[in-house]
Amino acid sequence: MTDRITCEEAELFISASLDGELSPEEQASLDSHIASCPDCRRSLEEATALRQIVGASLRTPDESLTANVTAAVRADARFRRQSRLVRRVSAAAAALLVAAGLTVAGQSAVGRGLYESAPNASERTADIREPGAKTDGITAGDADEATSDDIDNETLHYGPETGKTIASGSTGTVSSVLPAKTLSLPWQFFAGLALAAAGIAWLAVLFARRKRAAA
Amino acid sequence: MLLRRKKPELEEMAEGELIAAAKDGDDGAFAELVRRNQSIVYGTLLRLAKNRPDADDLFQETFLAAWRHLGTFAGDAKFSTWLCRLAINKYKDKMRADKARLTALPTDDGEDDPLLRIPDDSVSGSPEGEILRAETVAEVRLAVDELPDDLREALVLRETYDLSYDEIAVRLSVPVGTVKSRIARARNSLKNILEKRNFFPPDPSNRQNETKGGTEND
Repeated sequence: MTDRITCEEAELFISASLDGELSPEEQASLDSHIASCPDCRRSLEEATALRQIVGASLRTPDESLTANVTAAVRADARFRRQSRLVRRVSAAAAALLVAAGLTVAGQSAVGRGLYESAPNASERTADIREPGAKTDGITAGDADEATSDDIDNETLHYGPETGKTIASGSTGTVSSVLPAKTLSLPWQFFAGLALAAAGIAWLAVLFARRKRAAA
Repeated sequence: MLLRRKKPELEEMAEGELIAAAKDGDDGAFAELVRRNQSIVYGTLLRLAKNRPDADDLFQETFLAAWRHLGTFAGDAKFSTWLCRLAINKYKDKMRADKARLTALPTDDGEDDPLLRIPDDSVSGSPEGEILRAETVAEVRLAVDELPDDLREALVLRETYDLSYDEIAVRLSVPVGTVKSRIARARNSLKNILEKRNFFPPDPSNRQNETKGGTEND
């Protein structure tokens, strides 16, 4: 048996029912009143609709809040695009460094002659290399260039002194007596290798960072 | 490559298209996704945090995280559901950081804790699914501001944070019966104010995200 309520009470019950705050008995009273009162039935419908709008309005974030979010996202997007560009340029530079380093190392090793012991021009020892025997194309190119160093080499390589070894005490040239592959590499060789190693390390860091960023 | 689409185009795009574009880096498409989902996310956070400043902070964190981790959204669930889960996680992180709760933390399975229930669009009376026109929102807020202080306080606590009558009674230091009657009177007054301004009863166009009027922000 449910208690009968007035329309005034019904209005209060309607509001509370929207919030789920009616006891089962109260809800039953309301239901039976609604069933027989069209005015209150319409009140319930209107109150339901109004509550949806009011709730949604009060729960809508301020425009400033949304604007802050989209601004932050836009800045992040811009940063990522720039980072990508910087990374690509960086990678290209690193690759260039590797190539340059290897070239310098290669040229210095082969062009200068792996077999020379001292960088001192006047006391260079001749090697036993045949005039025409080149190990690779680089020295052939070098031979054509008229740098003073190369001319010196050429003179030494192709001159009548070829084959003769000049013993030079100041350089301790035991190595000059030995055939071909001695260990006296010019400093440029190591510098070139160091550059190449630096470039490779740089590339490794870039790739590691990209992997981390993508994770 | 990045293509900045114009606004009217964005509003007509399907959600799947917007997500694909945003994954590609189109922040304009993402902004549209924010617009479409802002109320459901904010509503969730308001209910969880029960205060605006925290909800505001979490709102920003949630959407920024969504942008950065868009790649992890596989499209198998609704985007709004995915966003709400993100929001809940951000809230949990904040709770752990704040150590504000001395009681046991919610379990990782958000379904257990009724507080962390993700709002269901289909439940009638749940306003989250609505995307209101900016005009409507502004009108309603103005009308709410016109209410007497005691009525407005009770209504705002109820509608914004989903507090129960008991909780509101504690906050306002009044009996529960007073809370009940204040909220009912607030709603009645609101209805009268909005009716006078022809904003109530609402016609269907009030609820669409129509932008032909160009009233939306951004």
